[in-house]
Amino acid sequence: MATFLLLPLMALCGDFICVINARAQLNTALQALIYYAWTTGSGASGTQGNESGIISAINGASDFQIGYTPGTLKYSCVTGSNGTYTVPASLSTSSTCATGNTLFYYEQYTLTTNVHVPFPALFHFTNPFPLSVTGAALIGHSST
Amino acid sequence: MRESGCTGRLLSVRLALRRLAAAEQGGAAVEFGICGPALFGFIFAIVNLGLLGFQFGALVHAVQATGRWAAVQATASVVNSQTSITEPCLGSDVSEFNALADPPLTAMSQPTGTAAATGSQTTGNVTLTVSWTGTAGSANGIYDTFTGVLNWQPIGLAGFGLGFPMKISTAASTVGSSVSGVTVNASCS
Repeated sequence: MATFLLLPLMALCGDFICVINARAQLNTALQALIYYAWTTGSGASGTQGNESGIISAINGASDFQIGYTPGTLKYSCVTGSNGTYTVPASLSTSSTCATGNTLFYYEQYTLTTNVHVPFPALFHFTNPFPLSVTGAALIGHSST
Repeated sequence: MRESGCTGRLLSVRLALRRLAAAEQGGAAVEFGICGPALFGFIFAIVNLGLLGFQFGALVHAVQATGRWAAVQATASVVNSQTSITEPCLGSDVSEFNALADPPLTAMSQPTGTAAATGSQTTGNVTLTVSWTGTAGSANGIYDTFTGVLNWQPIGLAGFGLGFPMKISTAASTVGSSVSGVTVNASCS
């Protein structure tokens, strides 16, 4: 009786732990890219795809192979003055701002990986189980 | 008519069995015998998953913080006389790692010996490996890679081989793509 309850529970735990591990690895890789963008990215030119070495180094040491496309530059126009600023909720692909606004530069990354869960059939998981994460780093600004 | 001794015994056994079948005393104990292992198994699994989350969270946080430290602090000075990359920062890396991993993970001791391109420290069930990757002088840059491994084992089941390693890696650039045609000497600041 207990076996019928505990074995599926343990199988689900195994799948769950694998997915959590992969998700943590994706988040850590994204954070490494964001640190790279902060320390080496420069305003309008961004990181120019040079961050690929970070992902190569992580893939060389990790259990999960991370898919990566070079970071894309995104923008936002910040309005306001005297310490009160309004930042748009979403980033834009347009680098044009109204006069008097501040143009903020971001580098945006999307990382993906596939997790091979050990017991996919039991709970009808897609195998491999796809995961992705997206994040952006503020790398500079200029007044317009 | 008086029954023989054998038949009488049979009748009394049959009667006792009938009484046993109709009896309801001890039902709770029987139900507990069936459900108890499942109940304790659930509690055991919940406690172990909680501990795993706690320890793994600390490992991830510590590895990320070590990567952040390297991205900000570890530098590679460019010299023409150096022919290989060494890892002088392992001691600082271990200190940074310990600051966030301990507790719940056991603090690592400081490494000893000569600096090399790859260093590793193990304490208890946690290993931190630090390596510098990339070719000195190449245009692809030099990267400081950190890998933390937690060999997690459920409490009470450590001797049954039920554990498994949970690994997290990160990397930081110490010399970017502008370096070309020169060799590199990594250093800590």
